[in-house]
Amino acid sequence: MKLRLLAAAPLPLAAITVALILGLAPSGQLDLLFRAEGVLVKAVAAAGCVAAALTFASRSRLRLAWSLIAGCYLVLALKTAPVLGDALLVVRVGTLLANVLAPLGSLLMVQAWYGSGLAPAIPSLRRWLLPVLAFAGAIFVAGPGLVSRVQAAGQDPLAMLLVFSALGDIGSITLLAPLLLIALAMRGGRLAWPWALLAAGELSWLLYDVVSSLEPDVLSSPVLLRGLPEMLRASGCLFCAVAGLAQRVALRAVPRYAAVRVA
Amino acid sequence: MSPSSPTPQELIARRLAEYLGPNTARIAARVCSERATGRAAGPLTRAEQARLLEALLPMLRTLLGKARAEDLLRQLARDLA
Repeated sequence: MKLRLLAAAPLPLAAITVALILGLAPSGQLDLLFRAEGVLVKAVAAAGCVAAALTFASRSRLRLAWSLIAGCYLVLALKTAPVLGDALLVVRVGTLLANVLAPLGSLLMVQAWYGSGLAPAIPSLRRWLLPVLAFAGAIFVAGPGLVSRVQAAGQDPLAMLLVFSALGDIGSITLLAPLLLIALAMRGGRLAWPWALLAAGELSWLLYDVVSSLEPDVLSSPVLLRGLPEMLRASGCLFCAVAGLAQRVALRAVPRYAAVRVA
Repeated sequence: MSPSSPTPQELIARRLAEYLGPNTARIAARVCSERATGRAAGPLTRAEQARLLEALLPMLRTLLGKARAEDLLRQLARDLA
């Protein structure tokens, strides 16, 4: 029940928060409020991932994986914060770091699962085909941005940092496939929840990338134009936060099994 | 062992299902049994049961953490006894 409640929380919370800001922000304060909200949700995501990391012993692969994802959100929170987030170098280095840490963390999680010997739980065709399709989708979504950043890097060396962050985006989108496959393989079990929620977070970020790259006149309403990307970004962060909490909840005390006699 | 009693692999799968889901739990029990004893299913001697539990440990340690994995293995050992 707790896990279901956790899973249901991010989307409505993100929607309500964005609606409140759009509806109640005094004129001229919208950017500041969204910035504050951005710092908050990213900090909450980092905290959720730290909670998950602490569930595992110090040299565990999953502890490292959750720590890397926590690091990503911490960097994003700092990058969004006033003063720090106003320096171009901080923004670019922060974007690069975040787009390296997040896919690296997801990759470690996927490797840990496959490395534990559970790969046969996913049919091999699906295991290979879906990540390839996800990679193709990632190129479709993030490829044009990557090309324009490579072109811009010719004039501005700092823009090269954004090239690497676009590559990180492609990595994160590709890893959505194995995260989903693993969650599906474990459906019915408590451990499916953190994986599914991490995948939901990645999906929100993917949709954020798609929506952010649309021409402004596609989203005709100013509310949608501002609110939809903010909502998707907030829900991406909140899904990650509850993924971390779900990892802790899922592992809470091994239940007492009644002894069963094997005749 | 009577025909209607669950096999050790089935017992293990039932316990692991709470964490891994029924599909992955079944496969985990089968794969570890095959690795430990050369057989995916069927009755096991006490020594083979011990090897099966040992074979489960790395996977459980990765996914549950060391302490919970060892707790769960102790439970499984009691259930198989």
